Amino acid sequence: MQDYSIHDGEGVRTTIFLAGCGLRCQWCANPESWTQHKKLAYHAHKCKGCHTCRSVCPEGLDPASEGFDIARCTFCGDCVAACPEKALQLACEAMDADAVLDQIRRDEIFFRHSGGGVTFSGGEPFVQHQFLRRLMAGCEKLGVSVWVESCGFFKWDQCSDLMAGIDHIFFDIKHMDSETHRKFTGLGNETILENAKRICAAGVPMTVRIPLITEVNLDGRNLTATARFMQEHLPGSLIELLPYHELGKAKYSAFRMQDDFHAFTTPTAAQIEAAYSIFEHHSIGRYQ
Amino acid sequence: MLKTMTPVSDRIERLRQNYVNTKPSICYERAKIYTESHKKTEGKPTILRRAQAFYDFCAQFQVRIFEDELIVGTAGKFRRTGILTPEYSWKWVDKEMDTFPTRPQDPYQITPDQCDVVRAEIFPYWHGKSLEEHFLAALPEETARIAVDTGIIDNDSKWRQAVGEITPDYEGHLFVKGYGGILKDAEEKLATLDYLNAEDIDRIHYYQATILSAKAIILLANRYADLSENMAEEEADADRMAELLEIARVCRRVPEYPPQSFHEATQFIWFVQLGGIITENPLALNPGRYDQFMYPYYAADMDKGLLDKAGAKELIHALWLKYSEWVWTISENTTGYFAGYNQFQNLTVGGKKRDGSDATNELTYLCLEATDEVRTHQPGLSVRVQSDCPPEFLYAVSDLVSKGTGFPAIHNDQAGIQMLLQAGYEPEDARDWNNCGCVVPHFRQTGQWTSAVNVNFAAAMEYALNEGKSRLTGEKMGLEAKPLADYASYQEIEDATFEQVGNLIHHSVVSTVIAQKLHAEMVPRPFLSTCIGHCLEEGKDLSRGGAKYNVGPVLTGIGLAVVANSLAVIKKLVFEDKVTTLAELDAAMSADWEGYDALRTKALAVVKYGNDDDYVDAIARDLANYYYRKTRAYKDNFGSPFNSAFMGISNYIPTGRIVGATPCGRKATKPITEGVSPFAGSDVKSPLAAMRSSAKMNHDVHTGGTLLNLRLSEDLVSTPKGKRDLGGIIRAYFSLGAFHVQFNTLSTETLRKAQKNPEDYKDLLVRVAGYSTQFVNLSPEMQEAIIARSAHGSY
Ligand code: SF4
Ligand code: SF4
Repeated sequence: MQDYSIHDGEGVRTTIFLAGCGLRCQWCANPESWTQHKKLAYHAHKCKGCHTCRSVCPEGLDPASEGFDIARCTFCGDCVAACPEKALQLACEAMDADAVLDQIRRDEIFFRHSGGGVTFSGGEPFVQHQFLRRLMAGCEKLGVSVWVESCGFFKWDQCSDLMAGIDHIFFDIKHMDSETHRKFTGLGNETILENAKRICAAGVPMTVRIPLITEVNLDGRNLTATARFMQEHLPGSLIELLPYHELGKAKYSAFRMQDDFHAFTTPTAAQIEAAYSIFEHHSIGRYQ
Repeated sequence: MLKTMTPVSDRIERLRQNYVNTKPSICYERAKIYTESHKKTEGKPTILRRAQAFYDFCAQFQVRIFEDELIVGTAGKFRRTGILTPEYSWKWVDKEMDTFPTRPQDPYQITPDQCDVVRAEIFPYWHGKSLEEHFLAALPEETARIAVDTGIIDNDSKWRQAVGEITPDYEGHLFVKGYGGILKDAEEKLATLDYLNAEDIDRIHYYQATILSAKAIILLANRYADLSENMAEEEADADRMAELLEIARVCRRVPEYPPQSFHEATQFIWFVQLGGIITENPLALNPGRYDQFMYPYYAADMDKGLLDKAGAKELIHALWLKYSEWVWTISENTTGYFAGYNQFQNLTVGGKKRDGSDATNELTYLCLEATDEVRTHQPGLSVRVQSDCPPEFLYAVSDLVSKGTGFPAIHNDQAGIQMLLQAGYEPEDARDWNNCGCVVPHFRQTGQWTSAVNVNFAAAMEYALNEGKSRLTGEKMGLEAKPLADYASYQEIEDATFEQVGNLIHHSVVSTVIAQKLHAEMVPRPFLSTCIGHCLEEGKDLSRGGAKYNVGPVLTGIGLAVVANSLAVIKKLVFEDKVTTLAELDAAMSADWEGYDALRTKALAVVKYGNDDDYVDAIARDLANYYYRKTRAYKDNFGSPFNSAFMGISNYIPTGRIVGATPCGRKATKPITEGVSPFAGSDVKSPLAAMRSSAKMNHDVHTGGTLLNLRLSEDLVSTPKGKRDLGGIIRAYFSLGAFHVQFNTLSTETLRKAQKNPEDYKDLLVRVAGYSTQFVNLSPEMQEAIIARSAHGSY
């Protein structure tokens, strides 16, 4: 959970990351949220090699070492608390709905005065749809606005009832060509485009987000196709372009997932503006 | 060099560069003239001797107008000048003077020759005569051992220095009457008094002193007018010549007559400030509600076409620079508590008018802008945020926050009003509050010691846990206490800790009332009393309770979070989880945690104050409530109850130096905590949680003010949306009843760069606590403490 988040919707928001996602986008900045099992991150650049973590680990492990055997880790968190450099961190911890709602209740005063609320993000938040349902019911009682960030890949039938409770959705469309989509994310885009239409038809205000990546989707053809699709099927939706950044790189090493990391090129400011103008040309408003 | 991007005039930029690049120098002229004067007035009533000395200064001091100046007047021969006031204290100066230029915090320039003059011609006269000497002689031994330069309870700024802590009443008094009017009133009053009435005698002396003081400041202004005229005659540049003539005209008029223009009002304010500096070398001589009392002059000049925005800005910039140039001369010990050449001149904008309506106006915004543009560390800019304030105002506040100067100090208007109501103010006066010093809600007709004593809570706890002794020295400093291992329950330990706090409060009160009595006898304040109408009416000096409101002195608790965190550790690890014993904890602290890494890890893992967890926050709240009740039970020399506060200054560093390791995991001598802020780095969750923790402290009863400092990542406030959102957060925090919050938004990276290349960052302002100052002017130790405050803002 991340409170005081200002980039995930209106006002001050508390973003709740629900782990688990069907896609494997090569540029993903949150690879730790692909799966739901617990993880222990090790930030090598912060580590001063003091071995405190090793000395406190009840399993006799050394989370700061190359050969750290994560299979034996019980995720007790002792090393995390002990590290004087804050170089260790647990991720994907199991939380029960009441604990999450308790935190939302505490933050509610800040939502009230800033027009903010909760943003469910991921991973893909609809993957944990049962948990999400419980949280959204709680939000409704608290009078807290709900925004969702979705990659679009989920089973509609499991989630259609949730749509009525969503005040706004950020919906990723990574590529209009299914084959290219599959190449970079592991899956085709048919379900995603279908879900986009259904969400829109259900009346949820939508902002389409494109992670703008030079090597993947920064071409006029793809962007025009996206704009046309929006014009035709997603009336009223807005566009937000999120230029690719390398900040996720550190996470791949922290979670010992270096092998999954792919480097891409960040588009220039001029390229981003040019991309926006395509959408403007199709009378699609910009999210701001 | 960091350049100010915003437009200031070339002249202001030159003045600014001078301020940034000049080291303050000590000028002994004032001390010399005062000493010579006092030699001639022996035997006369003290208040008249003080007024005469001021008059002599105004008549004899060689006045100077420096290049580019628009607003004129200095208390010494340098632009950046500090003065000496040996009637308050001189021994520390005698001892420290030679190292003034080299001391780590707030060095001053003074040459060996100058030191010789001071030692030969000034100090000998004051042997046995200073406030300090009388105070130390009067203080009972059992109080002296914990109150004099110990860091346990500290009030040395009240017996080595003048009090200051006044907000001159421009709106209702000074600007209405002018010093000519005050003089006339005093003469009329005097005519009605008779030496044959015993009770009139003090009043006769008071009015005589008032007349002398008024004549003195008028004389000083006219001498500046003379000088300016002479300089105009010599001036080759036609523009500057016209300016000098205008300066002369202004100085002829004010402060003798009520001001008639924005320029005159500005110069008036500076003469009053100068009078205060010369007579007292005070801290916290507050401008007050500048946007309110200056607005009529601004609006009238704008209407008449005599002033445009740029012209108004230039005068504001010039005044801001004046506030920043002079230095409050203080001892090395005091610099630990008030670091950064800070004079605590608090200027408050926004809030409500006396009738309850919103008070913001154009000048409010100009003050916010000017503070960003000129980047001086003074005045201390405070804003009052009231529930119905314009969103634009809140946005302007966030915008200034985003500039990373640490300004403004942001206050909840409703809480401020509530604090004054509880202190017994009339509702209209309560709505008219301004800040004193850093975060003390105050009013322009008030006499109060707003920062009377710093009380070290962590030391009190140490005595409870260590048989009444200091862990570092082994000396018995607190009440008798049993060995730690003999305590049978958590509650017993908590009670013992609170009791030790109660003992420190007791000695703080003793020390304060003795100082109060001596101030009234030895260092009455004839000049600053002219700034408060009620003194003139009653014929009574401020130091004798002449103000309309005499509010009880403020005792500031330091280390609230450290004590709460430590007690929580004992409760959890010893009594609940039973993973350690009191004996082991005792040994660990005596060893400064050496060899107890595993235990320290466990201690650090216990939840800390600032994370919105009642387990520990409730302990902090109980302690704060206890502190309030205990403090309020004492009365000062005027019969006013003492007040509690959790404010800042930089006192959490020196107070930490004398405290051994604490159960919370803190190592010996490390800083403790300021105000109601969390321990540096322990508010790991988010600023929102830190705010929720802090808001649990019933702020509105601590009428001496509460303080919360937070660091925010620059990115959180770099966009318009971020600024709006910060406004929402401020409103939310205040809706919980909290009083104050202030943000540092510099990245750790920037601060590290500034440490490496101080030359390039001379004008980098940071929030210390309750005030901002140049980062490079802080000692390395202070800089580390600033960096250690956790920066919030990963997302
Ligand atoms: S989380 Fe616990 S088990 Fe895993 S490495 Fe850290 S201390 Fe060992
Ligand atoms: S405790 Fe932290 S800093 Fe020390 S070796 Fe382990 S990870 Fe590195």
